[in-house]
Amino acid sequence: MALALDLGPDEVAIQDSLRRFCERRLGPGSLGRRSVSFSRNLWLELAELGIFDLARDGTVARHQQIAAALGVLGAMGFPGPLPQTMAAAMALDEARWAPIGAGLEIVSFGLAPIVPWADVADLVLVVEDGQVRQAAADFDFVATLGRTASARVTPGQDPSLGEAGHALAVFQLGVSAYVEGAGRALLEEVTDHARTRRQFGKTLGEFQAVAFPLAEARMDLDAALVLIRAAALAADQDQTVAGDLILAARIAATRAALASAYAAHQTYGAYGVTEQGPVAWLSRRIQEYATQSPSLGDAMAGLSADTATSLDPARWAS
Amino acid sequence: MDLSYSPAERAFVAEVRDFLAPFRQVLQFLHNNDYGALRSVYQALGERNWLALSWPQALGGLGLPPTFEFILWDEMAYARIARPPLSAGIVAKTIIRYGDDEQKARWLPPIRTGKAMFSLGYSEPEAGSDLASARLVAERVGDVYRLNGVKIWSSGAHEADFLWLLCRTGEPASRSAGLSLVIVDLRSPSLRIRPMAKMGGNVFTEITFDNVEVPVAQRVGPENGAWTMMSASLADERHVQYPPKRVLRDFEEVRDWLRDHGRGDDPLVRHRLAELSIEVLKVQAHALSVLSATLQDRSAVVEAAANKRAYCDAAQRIARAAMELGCAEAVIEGEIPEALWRQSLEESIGGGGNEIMTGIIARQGLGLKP
Ligand SMILES: Cc1cc2nc3c(=O)[nH]c(=O)nc-3n(C[C@H](O)[C@H](O)[C@H](O)COP(=O)(O)OP(=O)(O)OC[C@H]3O[C@@H](n4cnc5c(N)ncnc54)[C@H](O)[C@@H]3O)c2cc1C
Repeated sequence: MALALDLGPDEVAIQDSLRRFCERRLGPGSLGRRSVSFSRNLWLELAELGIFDLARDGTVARHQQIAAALGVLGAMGFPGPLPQTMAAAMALDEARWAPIGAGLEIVSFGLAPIVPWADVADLVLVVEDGQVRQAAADFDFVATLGRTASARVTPGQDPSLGEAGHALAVFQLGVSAYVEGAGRALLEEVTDHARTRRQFGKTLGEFQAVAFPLAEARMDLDAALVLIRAAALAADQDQTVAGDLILAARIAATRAALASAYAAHQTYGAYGVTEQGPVAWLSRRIQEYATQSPSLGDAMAGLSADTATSLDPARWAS
Repeated sequence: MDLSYSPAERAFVAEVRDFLAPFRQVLQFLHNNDYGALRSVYQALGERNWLALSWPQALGGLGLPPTFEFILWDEMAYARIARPPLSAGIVAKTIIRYGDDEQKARWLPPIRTGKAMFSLGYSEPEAGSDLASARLVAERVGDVYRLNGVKIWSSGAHEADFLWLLCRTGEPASRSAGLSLVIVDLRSPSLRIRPMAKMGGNVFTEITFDNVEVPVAQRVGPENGAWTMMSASLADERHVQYPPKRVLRDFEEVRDWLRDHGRGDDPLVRHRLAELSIEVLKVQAHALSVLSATLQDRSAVVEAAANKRAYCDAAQRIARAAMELGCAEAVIEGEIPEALWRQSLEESIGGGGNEIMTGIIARQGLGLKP
């Protein structure tokens, strides 16, 4: 097979079906989606599409499909513990996973002390010393920038559920895909604004000072998307570069999504800094996912000295 | 070259700090949404006549050089208490330059004593950066103007007493040559004011004018003469608009927050803080250039644009760095990084966006034509 960066038919089908679902349930434009908060019913409907079972097929994870799905859900700003659930799928045994995969119970996953979506979850998993543990039962809601129903959690006393490595990798990949999608959605919307809003007799997009940051965000998002897809492919194929690529994807996607969010705030002018406006709802979440543990600094520290060659096809086993 | 304050200015710094002590709980510089608290600060300033530090003595002011205003508002910014009120700045300074005697007698005393609060009515849905395209019509009917149109993004107009309104008195296509400034009573029953929450915590408003009548006597300066007056008042206020100690305070709070969250000794954090401290110094350098030019009565258009741009860049870099330095608590609502992250977004848009400022530097500082 020749080198190709396009999605495979399974990933395309997943994206199409999720896009249709979101447009039907959350509305066709972003206006309706901005005010959608987490709902168990919506979550259940999403689960009924089989989305969480993507994460595990017996013992095999399907990273490319996870990344494709979370990219669309990020673009739609779908609320809830999406990367977290995919990660939890790697850590839970069949009995505990079944109601979660079916959307009947909610799980979140993260590192202490702040875990997004923990306040709506029935089960919270935290990573401590490389092990996945169930969080202590009593935790407090904390209001956060991303409005993600977060809670302050500590690891519980129960025995470890196992090594965290794979779950963390899926989590990082999922967060990357989600924020890349969110950043791209903001960029598309603000680009429309730059094409139509006129000041000084010109559209905003005719001013290079406006157009260039948008173009730069696009450039960064495009690179991040390739990294995400490559990381997922590497994980599916068990390539040695998978670990580095997943961390690189998280860093690149986060930075690109933030660049896109900042350019969107700026290009919309005052409207761009209103709470009800087109940017706040998603940019808040992008920044929260950017800050959450494991942090970009942790990801950076985890990169090997050979990271820079991890996209070189010559290093990939065929 | 001299970088020190005079003995009188130094004494004023101490006096300002003493004065501010009882107001340390009024943290309105960033949020600007507790109007009761703001009024009490402005009235206390009024009691000392500090809202009129640089006004001419003949008009009730103290006739002091701009350095005193700079000191006051820089210290206010550092204490995060309040920003300079529009009333004692742009409004009063325009009335002092261009108003008639009756207007001076009517408007300056309540402004000087902190009793009259103004909101700014410049932007419109279709006229943001391009203010010269403002459309809100002021049609002259006998001795009143009849106002029709919409203003948007006016900060805090739902709580202020008056609106400093830019309106079109000339032909629709007259651009900057057909604009006038009038004072509108915000309690006027035919105004509709719709508040909109800003990410930074305070409130924009949209104001709809449907045949609102304002006496012609409330027009300040010549009909169709707004543009020159707006530039002049902007120049009068340059040295207090973007006080460098705001970013100094941002920097110190982030530094201390990181230390309190156990990140103070991380070499990467220290390196980043060192970089940010240079950003703070750059803002101080630009602000002092503006002040120095103002003291010498030189045009400070380029210096002011650079000051504003550097101030926004520093505020945003500090807030964004705080989000990136490995501490998940940074996203908790109300924590220093979270609050600064939200608030600093708006700085690069209001009062002329970053792109507009950079354009001014390119055009007027370098003679380029981007
Ligand atoms: C915090 C805050 C407080 C405000 N308070 C008030 C107030 O009290 N009263 C009031 O009247 N208004 C107020 N405003 C409105 C403010 O003046 C406008 O937001 C500003 O003039 C920009 O206009 P706009 O929002 O319509 O954006 P637009 O003019 O649509 O601009 C959008 C983007 O395009 C860029 N752009 C526009 N033209 C050019 C160009 N020629 N070259 C390069 N880039 C360009 C801008 O810099 C901006 O980034 C406030 C705004 C903010 C954010």
